[in-house]
Amino acid sequence: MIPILEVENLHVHFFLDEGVVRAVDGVSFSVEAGKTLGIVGESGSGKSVIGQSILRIVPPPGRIVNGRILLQLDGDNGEQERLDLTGLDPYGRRARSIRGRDVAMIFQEPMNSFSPVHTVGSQIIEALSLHGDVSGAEARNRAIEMLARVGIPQPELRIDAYPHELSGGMRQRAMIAMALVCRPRILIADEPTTALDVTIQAQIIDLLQSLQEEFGMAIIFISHNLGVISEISDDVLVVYFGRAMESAPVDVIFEQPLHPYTRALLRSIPSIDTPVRTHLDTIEGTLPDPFANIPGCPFFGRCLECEGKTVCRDEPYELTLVGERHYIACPRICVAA
Amino acid sequence: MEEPRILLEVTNLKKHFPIRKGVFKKIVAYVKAVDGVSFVIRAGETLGLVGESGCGKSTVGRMIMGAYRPTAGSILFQPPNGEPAVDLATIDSAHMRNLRPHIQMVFQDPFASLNPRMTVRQILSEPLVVNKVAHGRALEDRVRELMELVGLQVQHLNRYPHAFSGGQRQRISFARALALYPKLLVADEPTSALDVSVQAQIVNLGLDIQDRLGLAYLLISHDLGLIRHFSKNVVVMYVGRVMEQGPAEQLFGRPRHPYTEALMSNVPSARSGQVGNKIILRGEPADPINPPPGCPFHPRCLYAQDICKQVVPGLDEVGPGHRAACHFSATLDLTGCDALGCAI
Repeated sequence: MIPILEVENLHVHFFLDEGVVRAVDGVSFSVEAGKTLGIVGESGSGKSVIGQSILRIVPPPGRIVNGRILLQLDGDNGEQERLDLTGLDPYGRRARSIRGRDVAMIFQEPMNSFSPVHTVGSQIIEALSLHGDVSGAEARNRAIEMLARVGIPQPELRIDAYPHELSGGMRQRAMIAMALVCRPRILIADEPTTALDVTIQAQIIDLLQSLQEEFGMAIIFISHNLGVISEISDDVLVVYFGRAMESAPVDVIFEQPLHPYTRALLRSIPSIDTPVRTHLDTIEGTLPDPFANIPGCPFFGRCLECEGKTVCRDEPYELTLVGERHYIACPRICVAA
Repeated sequence: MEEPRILLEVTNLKKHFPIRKGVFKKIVAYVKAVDGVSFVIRAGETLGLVGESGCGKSTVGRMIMGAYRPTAGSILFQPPNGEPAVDLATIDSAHMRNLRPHIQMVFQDPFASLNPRMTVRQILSEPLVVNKVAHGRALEDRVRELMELVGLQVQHLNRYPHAFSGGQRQRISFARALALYPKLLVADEPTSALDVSVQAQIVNLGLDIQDRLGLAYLLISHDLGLIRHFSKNVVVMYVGRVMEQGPAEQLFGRPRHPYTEALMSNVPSARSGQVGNKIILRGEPADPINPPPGCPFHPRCLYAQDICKQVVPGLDEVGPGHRAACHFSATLDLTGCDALGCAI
């Protein structure tokens, strides 16, 4: 199957007075229609910037300096066309028509994504009328329908509510409705459940999964929570310090991870087998200096498996295919082997 | 084995916040943030307080710290020097000041809870100076001792909080709380603001400190995994009331309240293949201003019957030290951690 979105060797750098922060430093992945890619990483790993790059909303002084983001589009004469989003003017007509219609995004804090002075309904209707030729009444009906679909009770009343009148879980549902009302083919979800309680989080994940079954959109789910990622993803990409460390089908990542970072991350969460009150495995040390340009592996120094081999620190390495859909970037495995 | 002595005994604790409206600020309703909570913390043990946001768990912590005065109920604290127990619910502020060193707090956000204009040395010295515990050479020694206790380097004493990572700042918070040799530490979501790998470091630190100093913890968290890892006893709260409480092993192994069961099944498991046995609750947590009649959990409960809508269930004993507020706790066969295979 042809992937609906392909990201190749993406580099996004932030040019600050103090130096250059390589927020995304050579990340590649692809997503197929109807599938979910989970992007997992700690804070500062660049996972959110990856999502922003696809929509071309990386805040300045950040810039895409290298790489391609190929979006599969249906051309005018019925042929498939592949559009490189990195070549678009982020403020241009083309980019604006893609945002919301082909690629939509939901965020962690729905209060910040809605305008507080407009009703929820008017913002959903705005999205519809920007991208489609619909009458006012038709748009309102479709907005009500969508609100009902995401599980908001009494949608014909709630459509006229202001965002602050809804609870956190309801606001997140309304934001999903706004994102999906134009039936985008890709939904980017950046930590959409992090601010929610566990029972509400379970509801939202369940909702996203059933909407995906119905609409067939691809989801790029960005989170720091390994548990959430394991539940929703088909494939998982592990990022660290702007680099892709490992990517594989979800079972492989959680059952047979190969990268020392993935393994360390998984060991640090208590599981059912962890006896209570025992020490958890930690990842010692801290992230490297964000301004550093590290030729080799950024996990060097915190990695327990490289035994201080300088090959890891100094040698550039490539993301290497080691199994079916299983890529890994570890100099110890990729270069030495 | 003899049980350790009781350090803190909370009985029927309530906090109702008035809602005032209109020109004359007339009280129109009450938010029953905490509505009848009782538990006991013994020396050196951890009590876990778990629930969703708005369930009143932090309010309980604040009442113990003396930040809020309870509407009703008592908080009996047993001072370590053998003096008679004191009720923190009615104590005056002068006496509270004497007891303050014994009960200390660690907050959720290490970025907000440390003064950015003070160096670590000043942050750690302040409680010692204010309480006239140490000065001069002894003060310096104690500050250095604290840094070592929480795994920080003494040469960083002159740095400001911004020079530290989130995990290190949380270590500073712990050091500050430990400065006055407390007996009870109230930790409100101590790991929630941290990254996964750093959370493990703070968990280990918390365990080490408890073992070395014989501290008791009141651990307030929404994270069932953290609660299970630390706690000897657990209290599950929902809209200000206790749904279930008891020894951690029994409560997690075989919960006796449908809410506990649902909470446990909703924790996302970091192992694949665990999806499917999830209990998706309907609706959202009840409004504490206007809680539903009967059992507050009944609109979301999978097992609710007519009686649940009318009669408030009592918090009845279902096993040794194990209580549940459910009409059907005796008959329901709920799945616990063992059967669920959940990763908490």
